[in-house]
Amino acid sequence: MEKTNRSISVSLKLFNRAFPERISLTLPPGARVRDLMAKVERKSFNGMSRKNSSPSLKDMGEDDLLLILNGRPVQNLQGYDTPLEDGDVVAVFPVMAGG
Amino acid sequence: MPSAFAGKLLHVNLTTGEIAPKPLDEKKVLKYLGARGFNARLLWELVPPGADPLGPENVLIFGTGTLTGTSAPTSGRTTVSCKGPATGLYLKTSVGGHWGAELKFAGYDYLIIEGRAPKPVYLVIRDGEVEIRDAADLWGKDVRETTLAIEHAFQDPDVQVACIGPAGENRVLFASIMMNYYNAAARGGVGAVMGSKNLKAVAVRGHGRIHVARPQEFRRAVMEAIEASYQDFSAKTSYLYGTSASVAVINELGSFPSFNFRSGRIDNAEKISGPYLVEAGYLKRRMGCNACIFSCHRYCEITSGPHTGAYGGGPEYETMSALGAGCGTVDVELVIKANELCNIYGMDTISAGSVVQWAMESYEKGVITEKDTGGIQLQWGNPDAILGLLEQVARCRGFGAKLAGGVRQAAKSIGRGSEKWAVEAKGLEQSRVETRTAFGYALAFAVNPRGPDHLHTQVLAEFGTRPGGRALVAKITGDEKYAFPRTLEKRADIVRWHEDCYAATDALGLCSFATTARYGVTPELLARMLSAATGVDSFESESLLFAGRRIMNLEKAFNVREGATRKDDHLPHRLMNEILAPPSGKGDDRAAAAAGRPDPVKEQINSRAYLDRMLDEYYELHGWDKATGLPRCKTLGDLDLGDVAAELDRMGKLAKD
Repeated sequence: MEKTNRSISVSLKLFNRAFPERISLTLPPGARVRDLMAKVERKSFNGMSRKNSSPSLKDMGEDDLLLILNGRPVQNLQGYDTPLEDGDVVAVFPVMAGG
Repeated sequence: MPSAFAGKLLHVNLTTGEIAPKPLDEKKVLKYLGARGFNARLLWELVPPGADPLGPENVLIFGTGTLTGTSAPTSGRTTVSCKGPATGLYLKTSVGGHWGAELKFAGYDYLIIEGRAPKPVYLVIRDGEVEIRDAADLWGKDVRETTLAIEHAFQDPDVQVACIGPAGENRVLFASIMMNYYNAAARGGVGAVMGSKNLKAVAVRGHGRIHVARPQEFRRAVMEAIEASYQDFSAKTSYLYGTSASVAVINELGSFPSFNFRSGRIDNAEKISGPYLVEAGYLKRRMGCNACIFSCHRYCEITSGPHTGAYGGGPEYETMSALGAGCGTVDVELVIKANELCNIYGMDTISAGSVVQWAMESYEKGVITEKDTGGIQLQWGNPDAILGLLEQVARCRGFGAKLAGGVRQAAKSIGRGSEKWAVEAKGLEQSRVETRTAFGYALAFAVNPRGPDHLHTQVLAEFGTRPGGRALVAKITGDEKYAFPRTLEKRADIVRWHEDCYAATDALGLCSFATTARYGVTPELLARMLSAATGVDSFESESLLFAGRRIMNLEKAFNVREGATRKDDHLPHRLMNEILAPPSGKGDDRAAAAAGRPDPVKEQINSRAYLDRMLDEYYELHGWDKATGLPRCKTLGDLDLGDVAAELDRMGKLAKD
C-alpha cells in the first residue's frame, strides 16, 4: 500500500450509554491507538468510573476498557501500540464479563 | 463439629411414597466436593445404564453447594442432575436463587427423587418434616400460578418453590425447573424429567442455620474473595447492566449469534442490550442470588404498548440472542414478552429460541410451509409467530408439538436438509456463543458431557481482553501469548484447567461469574473457604482442581457407560461447515487481508481437521484414548475412581492402558 503523509481519519464509537456516541477524529500519519485514546480522554463515560464523582474516560485506565478495532479487540493486535489507518473504526466499551 | 453441611440427604421414592432421610457421608461428599460432583456420583450409582430418561428408573437430584447457605460470595447455587432426556446422556444444570440455601436451612443437603408418582403430587419440606401432597389442583397451572398458590397455602412469603410449568408436564425436552419464579434450572430438559415423575413442585422452608467449622478463618477468606472480586471493574458493569451488558460488545466483535447462527451481527443490537433496558425504563429492579455480591439478575416490566403488563426476571444475554437476534429481531419488548412466556410455561429460553429460529429458517427455505405450521407465517422477527409458537410448544399443540423434542428431533422428522441448520450437538441446542471465532470455546463445547453449552466450561480468558484472563492463561500455558482465541495452540490445556475450576465452583455452590468469568475467587481462595468451612484441612489449590477433574471424569464415564465415544464430541453442522458472515468494521475482508489485517474467514474454525487436532491433544492430556475417546484404567485409577473403571471394563468400555 502506498505510504502518504496525509493525516488519517478514524471513527470512534463510544459506548458510554446504550447507543454509541459517534465521533470522527483526525490523527497524524503513523498514529497509534494510544494517540487516539489520548485525544478522547476528556469524554465522559456515564456512571462508569471507579470514582463516580469524576466520570471521565481518563479515570478508567487500560484495564477497565475494551477497545475493538474493526471487529478485533486491540489486545489481540498490538494493544495500545496498534497502528491506525485511514477509515479505521474503534469501538470503546467498559469491560464486562459473564453471559 | 460444624462443617457447613446440614448433615442429611433425603430420598423420596414417588412410586412407593417412601420418605427416607439419611445421614450424609461427608467424607464421601467431599471426595466429589459436593453438589454437581456428589450428584454425579449418585447418578452413577442410581441410574442403570440404558435407563429411559423419562422413565421411573431415572432419578432427579437436587444437590446444594457445600458452601451454599454460608456467606461465601455467590454461593447460592444448586445443581440439578439426572440422565438428560434431550441427549440421553449425563445432565447437570446449575441454578441460582435461594432455594438451595433454604433446603439446607430446612436440614437437608441433597434431595433425591426416585420413581414416579401414580398421580400428580408436590413435595413439602418444612424444617425437617417432609410430606408428599396431592397436586391435582396445581397440575395445569403455570409457574407463576403454581408458586403463588403454594405461597398462599403456606401463608409464608419466604417459602421457596421449585416447580414446573405446562412444558414440564407435557415433557417438552427443554422444559425447565423454575425456582421462586425467576431462577431457571433450564438446560437439557430437567423439567421434563420432573414432569415424568408427576412431581409438580418442591416447596421448602427452613429456619435452621449453617455453621462453619472455623468462623474467623472462614470470614477472612470470604472478605478476601469479595475484595478480590471487586477489583475487577466488570463487577460494576454486571451490577449496572447484567449479563446483557455485553450484547453490543459481542455484536461489535461479529460474534453475536443472529438469524439462527447464520450471522454474528444484527443491526441495532444495542436495542436488546442491558444498557437499553436501563435507559428505556424497562429495568425495575436488580436482584441477587443468595450471598451474591454482583446482582446481575434483572427484573423488567413493560408498562405501555401491545405487551403491557409483561414482567419477569431477565432477559439475560442468552435470551436476547436466542429469542431476539437469533429470531431476526431487536424488538426488546417482544423479547421481554417471549422471555416471560418461557418463564411461566417453564422452558429454557435458549432451546425455545433455537427451535423457533430453526423453524423460521426452514420456512424461509420452503422446507416447511403454512400447511405444516397450521397457518403461522414464520418470517424472521414476526412477533405473532414467535409468541404463538412458544405457546404451542409448551402445550404440545399444533406445529409446536413437532418442536417440543428440540431441533434434532424436529429436523429428523422434517428432513429435507434441515439438519444442516439444526444448531445442536449431542441433542442439545447450542448456547449463544459463536464457536467459529473462539477455538477454546469450540473445543469446550464439543467435549462438554451435556452438549454444546458454556455453563460447564467458561473459557473467557482465551479472549485475552482482560489482564486477569491473560495472567491466568500465562499461568496455565506458560505464556500470555496464548490468550488469543483464534489459535489451536494450547486450547486443550486452557479448556482442561477451566473444566477443573468450573467443576469445583459448581460443587461448592459458587457462581462461575466469580471464578471463570471473573478471576477474583481463585482456586486458592475456594480451597481456603472450603477448609475453614468444613474443618477438613487437606484442601489447597491443586487438590481442589484435582477433585474437579475427578468430577469431570466421572461425568465422562457416565456418558461412556451410555455408549458415547469420540464421535459424540462434535459441534453443530453449521458451525463446522459454514463461514460466518464476517465482521465488517471496515471495507471487505479482502481489503482487510491486503492491509495486513487478520483474515476473519481463515480464522474461523470450520473444519473437522481443526477440531480433530484439538480433540487429540485434549484426550491425550486427560489420559483418554485418542481413537475412541474412552478413558484408560490408569487414568481413572489415579483419580481414585477404580470402581468406575472396573464397571466400564466389565462392559468393554475401557481403553487399554
